[in-house]
Amino acid sequence: MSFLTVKTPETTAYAMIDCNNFYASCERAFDPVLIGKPIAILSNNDGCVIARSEETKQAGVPMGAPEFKYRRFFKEHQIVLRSSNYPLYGDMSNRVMDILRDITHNVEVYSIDEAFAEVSTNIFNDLSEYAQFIKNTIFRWTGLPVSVGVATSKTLAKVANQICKRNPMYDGVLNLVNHPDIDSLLKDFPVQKIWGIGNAHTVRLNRCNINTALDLKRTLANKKWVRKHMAVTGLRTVLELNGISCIHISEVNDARKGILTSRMFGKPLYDLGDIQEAVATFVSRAAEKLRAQHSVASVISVTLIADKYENLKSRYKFNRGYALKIPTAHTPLLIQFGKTLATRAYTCNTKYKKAAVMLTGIVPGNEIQMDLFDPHLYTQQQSRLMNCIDHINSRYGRNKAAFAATGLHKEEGHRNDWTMNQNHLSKRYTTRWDELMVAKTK
Amino acid sequence: MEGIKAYLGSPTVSRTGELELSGKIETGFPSPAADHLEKALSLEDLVVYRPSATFYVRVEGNAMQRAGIHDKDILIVDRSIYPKDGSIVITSVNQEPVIRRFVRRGARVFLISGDARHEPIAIYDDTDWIIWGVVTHVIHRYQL
Repeated sequence: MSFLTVKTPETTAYAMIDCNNFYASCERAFDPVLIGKPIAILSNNDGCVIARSEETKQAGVPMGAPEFKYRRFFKEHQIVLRSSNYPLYGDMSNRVMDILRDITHNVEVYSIDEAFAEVSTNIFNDLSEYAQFIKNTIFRWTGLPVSVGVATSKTLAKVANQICKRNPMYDGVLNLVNHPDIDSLLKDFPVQKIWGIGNAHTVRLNRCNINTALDLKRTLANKKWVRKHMAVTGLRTVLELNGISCIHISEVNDARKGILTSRMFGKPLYDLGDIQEAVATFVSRAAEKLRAQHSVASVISVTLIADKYENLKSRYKFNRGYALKIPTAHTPLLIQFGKTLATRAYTCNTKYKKAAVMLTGIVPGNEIQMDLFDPHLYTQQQSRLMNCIDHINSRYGRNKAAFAATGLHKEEGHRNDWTMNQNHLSKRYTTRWDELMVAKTK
Repeated sequence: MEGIKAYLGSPTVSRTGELELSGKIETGFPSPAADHLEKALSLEDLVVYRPSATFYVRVEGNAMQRAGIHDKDILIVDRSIYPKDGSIVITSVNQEPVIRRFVRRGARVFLISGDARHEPIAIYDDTDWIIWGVVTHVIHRYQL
């Protein structure tokens, strides 16, 4: 035995992992009755379809289909409706990402149901085998089906992912590294589906007779043309299609740019008092998120959105903002500003459908510039009180300790006028002890 | 310096996760145990092997009492584990989650209830079934 082992050079590539019909799959994972049945997930206020299972897509329900318009169609086709259950989807997404961090490298969470990761041949000799392993592990551990595309660039990995997702022949896995016939696959891939190619680019490219991924790949021969027509980002895409990686994994996810809490009201609101209550609730939720990342915000803005169709031609979005002298995460202070801003944005006799609260100018809590004499200083005492409230709420359930301005959440079953309609909500199986999945003994 | 850092930092939570509301800076003689601190025991560390594959499931019915599973108990279920002969599993019968014992007899698999009133289910090649997960622990709450 020699001390020198000759290592075969390892290949590193990108994998794009995407959960198939993520929301519908989450619902199915805990409710076997839904397996094989068409499911449609409705938006926050049960307004329109935001996600569909494969069967629902086949039945012809488009994305964004308004619930009221399709009510009969849903019944006729026995489509099961679900209100969006974000606590469940969020937790399942975290599980998938955690598993990826365990079995791959440098995971970049791209959205709630997609991630890029680095895969290399030092674990599995064959990258297709590795991709299969990723797919099987996630499915076994969570019950969620995923597709895995592997390639030497992120753009190609995404192309591979989309191809193997659509075509059952691939069994959810496609590896384009050293693929013998990559060009014939690209020939069938429409240019507008490529990551980073938007509508404007598509129109321009189609005009120049570039219709497929292969056409675009070949424009590399004429870099000048690409740069002229599609700028540097376009050139990057072209290079990536040629397997040259230009977009690297960005592991750090900057969640601190801004915090937005926005919601449709359960029914339209006219009264300033109701609107202030809703805004106060959104502020308090946003402040909670702010504190969860140990940050403070320096700008608060409130947007009230009126019914667009009743106010055709006139403005329907009303926005007011305020820059705080000292950043804070103190809910009462933020509510105070939020309510004032809502009052300024409000006009009588207007039918409001939605409000949004945005916190920006976010900095880490320990970087506050002190001004000891400012009455709005976010003091240690306030910080402690806020953290205490957050703890109570995370332990005993949301809104167990709430601010009076957010409206009194009367007895169970009572709903404030502005709370959401969620008539088809499934259980929060993974975040609430009183909503666990039930299994019978029989 | 240590004390001041703690004061400026995030919420004070005691070992057991209880809230501590006092905002005092601790002064005086440092604890002789400070260099020997170990993480307090956590039940979750004991019973959850793989957090991303572990789910909690509520029991309904008393047919698995012989296996120590009672109505309203909470099961700790790990989906990453492969069942062995004798494992308690969550399976799906007629698209309904059911708790059964996984039994292997030769090449055959049976799903057996703890109560003779419920027939064992024999698994054939063409049986449409899933093992949802393997039960690793039971949490039973006694009358207080």
